[in-house]
Amino acid sequence: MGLFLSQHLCFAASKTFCITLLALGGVALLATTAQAEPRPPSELQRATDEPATILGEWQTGNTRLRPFTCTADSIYLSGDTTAEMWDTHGKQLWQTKLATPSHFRPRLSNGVMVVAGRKSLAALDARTGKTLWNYTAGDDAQLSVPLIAAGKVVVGLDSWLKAFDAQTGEELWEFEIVLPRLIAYPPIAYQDKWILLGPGDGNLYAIDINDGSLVWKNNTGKNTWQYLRQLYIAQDSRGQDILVAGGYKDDLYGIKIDNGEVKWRFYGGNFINSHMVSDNETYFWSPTGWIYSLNVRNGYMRWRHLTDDHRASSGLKEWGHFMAELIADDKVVYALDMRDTLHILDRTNGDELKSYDLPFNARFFVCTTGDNKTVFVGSQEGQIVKVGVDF
Amino acid sequence: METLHTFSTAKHWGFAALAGTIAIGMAITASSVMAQDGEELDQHVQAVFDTAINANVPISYERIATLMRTDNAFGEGAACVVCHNSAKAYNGLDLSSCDGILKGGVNGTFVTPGKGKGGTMRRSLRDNRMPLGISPSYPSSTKNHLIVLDWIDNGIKNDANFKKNVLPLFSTAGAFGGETKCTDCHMSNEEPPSFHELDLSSWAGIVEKGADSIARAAEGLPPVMVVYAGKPEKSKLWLRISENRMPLGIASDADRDPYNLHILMNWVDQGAKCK
Ligand code: HEC
Ligand code: HEC
Repeated sequence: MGLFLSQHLCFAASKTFCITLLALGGVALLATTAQAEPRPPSELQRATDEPATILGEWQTGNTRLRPFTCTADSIYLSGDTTAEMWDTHGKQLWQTKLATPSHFRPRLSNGVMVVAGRKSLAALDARTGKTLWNYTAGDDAQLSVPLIAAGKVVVGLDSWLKAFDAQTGEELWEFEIVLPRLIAYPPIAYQDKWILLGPGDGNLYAIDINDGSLVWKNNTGKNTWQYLRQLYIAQDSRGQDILVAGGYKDDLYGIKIDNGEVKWRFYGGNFINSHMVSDNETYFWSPTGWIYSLNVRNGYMRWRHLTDDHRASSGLKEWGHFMAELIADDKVVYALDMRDTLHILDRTNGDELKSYDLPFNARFFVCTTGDNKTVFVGSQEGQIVKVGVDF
Repeated sequence: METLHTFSTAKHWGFAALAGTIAIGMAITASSVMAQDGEELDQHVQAVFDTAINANVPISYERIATLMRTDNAFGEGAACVVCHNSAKAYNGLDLSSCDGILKGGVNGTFVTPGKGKGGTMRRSLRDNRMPLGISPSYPSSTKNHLIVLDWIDNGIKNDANFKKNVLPLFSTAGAFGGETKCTDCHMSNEEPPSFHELDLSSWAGIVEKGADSIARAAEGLPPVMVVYAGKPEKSKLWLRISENRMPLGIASDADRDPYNLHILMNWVDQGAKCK
């Protein structure tokens, strides 16, 4: 269906209601939708800081850890020296030395763990840590954050996207983007059928996952994004799949998957470093001092929580800045700030349920096993720290 | 068709509280709206961008003079003329007259007529001092600051002095004030991602790669160089650690593109005429 116009006319006089004019396939509908106004910061609950309960501290073979990948009972990690697997009770299950440092979070699929840095990539047997195969970038070349899906490892090498068999490392296909620009951020797989990629040439590509041929490409023009960072698939208000993508700078986009058309755009006012999508909701921090949650179906704000309050009048404590990507469990969002405070927010309304001071310098990530009782954080010294949470 | 949601980055509730004493954007149009809440302010901002700024409506000096005399015109803080007037002009910059505005301050011209982005104006209103969130009262000529200044003055060389004395500062917490390290936020392509694609952990990152290399390449542009040999006054690395954002004391989280900045830039683009 080609034509879908959606225009929101909000009247200053009535603050809650917007008249939404929908012209759908030529048929005009008049509907009234309420885009809830965010509650003012003073109405959002704040927790009092309390010391965190440390349930375990285990040294890894690294001094600089990358974000972990956690499952219900295991932690997969990498850093400057090794890749490792641990159980959630502090037992190291294996450790494998890396040829070059890892710069990205390890990815896992079907028993294969991909550990990558800008210089090289290793595919490991996730049960044993045994190296299945390696790939090294040439002298001045640089690898992107990798993707593992549908039995393939897909990774950018400068302006080439390359696919390898996840088990054997056999090179299956390569795809060159239009201009000689860097692919830095990971592609995403759509229904194990396409690869979607928004590299540094300003295009969005859909590529056949099996043979690397181009399915469609959308040049968004100068006024949209330079490249897309994290990509997530969710569903729009009509139950259709939608790509939720972060622009390089201040914008988040909802993009139609069948042709790359932008459905909605949210302007955040400063860099959005990373956003996370869970159950058709997206969460991110903006250096303008807010944690936002949007409904990815239409880009509407669900709530926002003030993190950086310079108005003495409000009496709210200032939080640190955020580098760590926000993480969600079924009920809450975990937000670890750069002052080593772990904030736990209610997913439904942004209320802060708990605020834990971590007694160590943390790296910028959190990971959860989904039990609502523990989270894992990395220390600046390369330890895994198990933190108890209770909300 | 695309739907744009801009939720103003300004703290709406704060404006509501202050609405009795200040009129946001009072210098814009006679019918300018008093911001009452989120939705109204957002629409108001959008309207100004659409109908005044993007349409390049002529701006008179009178309007600029009003902005310079108005509190909170560029984000929360005192009016420019409070600290930049003919009796007391910090850094030699007198913003209380058109002549003063055209003359500039100790660090060069404030505006470059015809070139909205020229001079010290735009950066003084947008560029947060680093490390992000640092108090403006933190001195900007500490020993560590001077080490960086010296290195730039002496040709940004990749020598023993750089390796031993300069580079480690960027990965030392509090080296330029605050609690964070520069490399906490600027550390090349990795996860979590770096701000501005800037890598302050190596000479090549600082000198050769600079900022926004991937994003600018997408627009067919070279990266933003953050250091120039012998030219600290052009080097963002130096300016970002030594210059405070204006109005002095404004929070780093304040909107970096308030529409009044764009009104000011349009006036400059239109020739910065004193009438
Ligand atoms: C509360 C006092 C105060 C206010 C208000 C203020 N400034 Fe400043 N400004 C200073 C001080 C002090 C300096 C000297 C450098 C420093 O301390 O950062 C300065 C320096 C500057 C400079 C650097 C000039 C040069 O050549 O070195 C510019 C540009 C500037 N201010 C612009 C503005 C503008 C525009 C406004 C209004 C939005 C403003 N200032 C409001 C105190 C203030
Ligand atoms: C908490 C994260 C954080 C820390 C720590 C930090 N920066 Fe930044 N830096 C930013 C952000 C965000 C921007 C851009 C947006 C802004 O100005 O608000 C930026 C912008 C810059 C720029 C401008 C790049 C350009 O292209 O304009 C330079 C240079 C810079 N920082 C240097 C430093 C230095 C030097 C330090 C250490 C003293 C430092 N930063 C510490 C977050 C940080």
